[in-house]
Amino acid sequence: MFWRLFPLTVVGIVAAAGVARSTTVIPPTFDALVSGASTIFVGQVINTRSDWETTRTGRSIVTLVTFRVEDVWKGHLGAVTQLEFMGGEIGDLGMRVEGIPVFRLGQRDVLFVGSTVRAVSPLVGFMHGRMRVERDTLSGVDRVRTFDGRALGSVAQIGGQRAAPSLASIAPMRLTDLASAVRSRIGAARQR
Amino acid sequence: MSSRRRTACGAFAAVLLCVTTLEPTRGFSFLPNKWPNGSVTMQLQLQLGSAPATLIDGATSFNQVAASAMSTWNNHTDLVTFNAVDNSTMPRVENDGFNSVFFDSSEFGRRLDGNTLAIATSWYQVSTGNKLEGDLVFNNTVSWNSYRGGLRASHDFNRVALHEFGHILGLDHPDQNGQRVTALMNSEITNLDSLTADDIAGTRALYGAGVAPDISLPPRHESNDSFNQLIDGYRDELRASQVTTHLDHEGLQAWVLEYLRYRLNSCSHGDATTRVLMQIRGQGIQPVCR
Repeated sequence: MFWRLFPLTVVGIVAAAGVARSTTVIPPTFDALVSGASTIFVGQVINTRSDWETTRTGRSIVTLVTFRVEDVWKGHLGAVTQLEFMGGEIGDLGMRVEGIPVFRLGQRDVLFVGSTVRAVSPLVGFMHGRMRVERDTLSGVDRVRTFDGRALGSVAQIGGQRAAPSLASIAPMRLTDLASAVRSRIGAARQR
Repeated sequence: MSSRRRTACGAFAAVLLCVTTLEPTRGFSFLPNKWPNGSVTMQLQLQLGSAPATLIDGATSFNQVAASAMSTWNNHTDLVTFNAVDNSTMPRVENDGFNSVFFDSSEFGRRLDGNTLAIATSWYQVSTGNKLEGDLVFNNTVSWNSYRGGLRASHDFNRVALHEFGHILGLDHPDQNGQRVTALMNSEITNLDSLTADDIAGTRALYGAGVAPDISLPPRHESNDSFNQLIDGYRDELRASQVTTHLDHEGLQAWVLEYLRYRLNSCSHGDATTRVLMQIRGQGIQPVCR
């Protein structure tokens, strides 16, 4: 009976052409994500702080996010690093750049950092350069989700057509598998 | 029961299970901040030197396309209305209370990479959630035109502007909030080039006059009196037998109405129930969920 009913419970995957919006951003492919990043690391958020920034076009708010660095896949970092994102809240005033990643204490992420110099977002592909790490409570295995919480089944899904949310579950790939894929891509690029 | 009938029954049960456990079919979702009622004036400064004199859809300027996009949203709002200042000369300054829409290669001095087509920024008051300013920057280092139908080599300013003005109004991405709907407000740009029923329902929920941000309920003594008359009618005319519960009828009246008030203001069943119980425990009237 289960197998007879199975088709009824599966929602077809609807492909959509790929420009992500919010802020409208063309999602980078996995290759572009890796090659565009000067630093790739796994980190845990240990502090966030918003400050005023004075520019020639007025005052804006920036948020400094401090990470404890767990692992570095590309580039060089110390035990702690800081990234600066446009937007934040100070007192009763808030500034939000739609789509910019928002970090909370304790969260673990893989971060593909493109530029740390005066960018709206220092990540490659604005928000796409953030991948969330979650630990499977049963197995203790770290798995990877996209910036918006969707399961990342494989690196082939990055930057390509994305499936609509579906009742069919996709197991997120292991963090160790993503690390291998990134290192393999870096190695291949060096050989070229 | 034959195998075919068992299969049919099983299928019906599966469909019934899906239908009865689904959340309401609303797809739209909201950003945390919205405009107070009134007009939202956008300063349009969308001159682009490299643009053709006439765009593919016949528009003669990107300002015209942007104004048309705002007008499209205006067709579905009552409490908030976009106004356009064409060819505004207002300085492009952050946090100045003016809503700027312009082409640039940076967001107020911060670089946009070539993959970023447009950025929407909001200033808001934290305590009220009210928006104070909304700015839109379109990347002038990429190729733009304006057209309908399938995506072409140039980016379609029309659908990107429609989407971004939706953000300016306070709409978020349904598909990034667990919804499965056809909507221009979904996170990915597709061949869809106009608002859908879900986009319109979203903006109506935010700014439609038919949906009040909160509703007033009749005073408790009136609903209680109505309930007393109902009981009398059941007792004297319908000869109904007496039924007792732990809930007195005044409590029933008050809290059922409170539950409905939360539900009508976008709370789920669980949220509404929790809020009612918090009120019963003396924690006061809870905020609604919109």
